[in-house]
Amino acid sequence: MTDEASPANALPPPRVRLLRDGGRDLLVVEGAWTLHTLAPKNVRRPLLRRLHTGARNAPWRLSAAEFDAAGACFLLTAWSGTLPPDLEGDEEQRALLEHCRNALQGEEAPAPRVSPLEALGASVLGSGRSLLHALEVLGGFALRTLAVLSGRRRPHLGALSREITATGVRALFIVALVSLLIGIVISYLIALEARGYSAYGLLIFVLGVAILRELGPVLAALLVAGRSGSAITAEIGVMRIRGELDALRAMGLDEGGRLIDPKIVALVVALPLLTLWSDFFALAGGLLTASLTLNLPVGHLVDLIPQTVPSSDYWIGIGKAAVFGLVIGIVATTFGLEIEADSQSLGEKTTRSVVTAITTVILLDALAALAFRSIGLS
Amino acid sequence: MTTAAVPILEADGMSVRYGPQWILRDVSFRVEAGECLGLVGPSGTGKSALLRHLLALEQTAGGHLSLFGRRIDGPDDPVLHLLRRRIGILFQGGALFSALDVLENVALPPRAMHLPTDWANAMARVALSEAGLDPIVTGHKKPAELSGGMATRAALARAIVLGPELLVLDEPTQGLDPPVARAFVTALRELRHRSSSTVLLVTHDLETLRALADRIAVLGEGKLLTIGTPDEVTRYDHPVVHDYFQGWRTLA
Repeated sequence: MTDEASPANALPPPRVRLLRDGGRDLLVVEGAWTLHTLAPKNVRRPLLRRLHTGARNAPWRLSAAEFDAAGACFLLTAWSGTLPPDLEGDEEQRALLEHCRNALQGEEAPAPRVSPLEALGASVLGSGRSLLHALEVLGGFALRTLAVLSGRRRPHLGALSREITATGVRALFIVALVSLLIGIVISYLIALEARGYSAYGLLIFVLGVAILRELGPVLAALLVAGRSGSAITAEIGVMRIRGELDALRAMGLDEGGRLIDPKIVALVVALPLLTLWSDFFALAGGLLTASLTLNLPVGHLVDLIPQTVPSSDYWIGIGKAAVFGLVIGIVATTFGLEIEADSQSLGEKTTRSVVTAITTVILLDALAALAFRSIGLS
Repeated sequence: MTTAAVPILEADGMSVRYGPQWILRDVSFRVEAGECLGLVGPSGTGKSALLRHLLALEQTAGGHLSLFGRRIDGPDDPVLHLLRRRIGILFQGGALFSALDVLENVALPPRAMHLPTDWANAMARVALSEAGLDPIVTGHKKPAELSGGMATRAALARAIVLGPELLVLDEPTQGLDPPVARAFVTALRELRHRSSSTVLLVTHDLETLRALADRIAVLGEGKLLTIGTPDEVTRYDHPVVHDYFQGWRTLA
């Protein structure tokens, strides 16, 4: 196998020999010093020892050796970037060594060191900047939406329809599946407990409030943030890296109306609908499980819902979903526009986009729980 | 057979197909040791596709490929892993890794051979200066901070850092303005002068071709139209070749 790796395998191996020449020590560098002969570690190690310990001031003889740029670099790194003062070699060898030494000369700029405090400050400032960008995106979106509503601007309905398909329709299956399973799990655990007290009304109330008011919108929002939020950030980021955003702007097409607004509006429209969809499957799973666990007809349990669960809980859920959609859209586009022209930034910002969107959604949900505590809940 | 007679790269009846569409059929030529072969052809004739097949990045639809006298069975041939260290490639547009700085980019091939960092970095710095860049000034820049000419030079440094026997240049002067392209071609000529490596050059630019190529292979109409010295090729009587080399004489 190594035959193919090294065309030079017929060459003599590299070595350093100590020669006594007329009462003085002479270090003789011999053999082929090439990338391929020096690549194996077990060849390099004894050579390095020899090169390091070889008396700094002893004369060196290179004439019997053959080396390429890699070999010259190897010798120079072993000699800490300098040539021994007493070096005997032919013109070509000296030229190569000096050429390499010149390339290695000069202080390498020290890698910028960042103290933890600086890093913390930078991250806080970065978050602040992102917040400002997000406000800018929100403001631009609001102004354009007002212009559309007052008829001063035409909406891009084709793009909107594509976006709703991407964020809403394509998410139907996953939202249904997750909601159904969560509904089954919650209902099963509560039903086991409720059976002891025959507290069926309470079971339905808890299921209804938990699903309609909290789980439906939050589940849908988390799934959409993971699915579409990341996709939006990555898409805008790649467009930015490839210069497509500049192209849009240069052609006088506004990227806001064409690219950003349809995505945000699609989320604001699709998320409440997905919440409705999620409510349906979670309740279906919950009621079926409850009826199987408690041996009650499903119809009876369904009848109990309007009697025990106030409709305001449902409307609060739908309303929250629309706000979550707006938040996910703003966060995803903000981070997409912040992506810089390297592959690392794309991954980093996409991650931050999803994490920020999910955190914000949950934070807003907690605030909403406090703000609307006196509404619904009977 | 002496080693000198073994061609560095040999395509024997190679065909390239994407799906049902044949791009090239029955392409045979050799890249001899020490020469610079220019591979040209109008846009869409499959230069890049052929190049991907010559580098064994894709399975050929027919024919054989030999690198350094060794028959390659396909992209998964285990011997490729070792052969590829002997080939330096300057990709179209540079293809520098944007997450790494310039020095890290250039030091990547030796690092991938598990060479120690200080040696790999020394090789990278020498390669950078060979390619005409100052390792101190550009070494710690990210590829995004480089101009087009500098990025191409950094990519060249990465291609030559292991002292390859075969240097593949895919559109090296694309997107460079004439003075920068000329300077880059001069750097390439000097490099060839010093290292006498074999070069396979894919280009659109007649000036680059004139300055570097010892022989030229012309692709067109789904096949290899002709191959020979610049003089032979430009005199070849075929409408595509004629069109392509229009102005070749006046360039001199």
